[in-house]
Amino acid sequence: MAETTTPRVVRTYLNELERALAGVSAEVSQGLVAGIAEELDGLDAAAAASRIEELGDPAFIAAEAREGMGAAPMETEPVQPVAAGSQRWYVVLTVVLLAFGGLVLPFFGWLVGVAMLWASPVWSRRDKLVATIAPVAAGVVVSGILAIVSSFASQGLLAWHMLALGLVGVPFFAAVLVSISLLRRGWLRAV
Amino acid sequence: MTVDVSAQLRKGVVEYCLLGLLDREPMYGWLLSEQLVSHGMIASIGTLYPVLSRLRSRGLVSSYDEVSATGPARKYHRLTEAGNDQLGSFRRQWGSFTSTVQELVGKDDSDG
Repeated sequence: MAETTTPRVVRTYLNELERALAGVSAEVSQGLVAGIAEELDGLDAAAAASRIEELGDPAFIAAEAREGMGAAPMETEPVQPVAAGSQRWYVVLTVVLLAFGGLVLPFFGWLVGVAMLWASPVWSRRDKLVATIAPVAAGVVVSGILAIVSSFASQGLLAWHMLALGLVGVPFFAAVLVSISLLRRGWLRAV
Repeated sequence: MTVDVSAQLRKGVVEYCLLGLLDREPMYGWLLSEQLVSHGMIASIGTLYPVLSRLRSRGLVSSYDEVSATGPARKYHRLTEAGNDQLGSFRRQWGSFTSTVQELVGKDDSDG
């Protein structure tokens, strides 16, 4: 009966989680699945999807559970190599590219960082959206304001300097600020 | 090359942090996970359940189901008498332990 009212996104997520937990002790895996299922119980599809986004990748949760058990990989299970995107060197490289990549290779350095950010499971979609949009949005907003202000100023050179600051400086500072937050979150979740 | 000291420290105290949270009130898994994740003690809910399992097997935590009129039925976890004693013992030792470590490791000259 509950089966028919449970959103598909929840059923899919719990199934993936159960599969990812193969080899983890029954007590831990059943407790984990039941604990998550009760939190998702009664939510509509949109609310459940948001919660699932917070929870993160089932493979990551299962890897954490295995590590928490102090369990060596189960003999009956093939050893799953840890994806590059879940490792700390990847987190650091991504954050460095997001913060400073644009200085080394204008725009494209930052763009590579964005691609790496979206390819990694350690950050939530919200983290990724904020990190991608914030520098661009900050640059657009500040440049717009500066353009309006400078249109009233008669000194053309000063106006150009202010616009350059808005287009380059503000996105850079926004990217650095966002990157600091990403580093903290990513470092804790990476293995 | 330095090792990740904070990860080792967290592993050493996460069980007691969980006991400390349960000493305030019984909690269900998600709530415990949120508290511990927000304080940087665990990375995800995946880490919580192995810790809970160990504490239950040592008789420090017990679990019970509670049906709510407004929300879903949940499995709550609470401290047992033994868990309370263990937490008390940890609290008594923690202050002097950290003082001793502080005294031994000294201050980092590069600070300030």
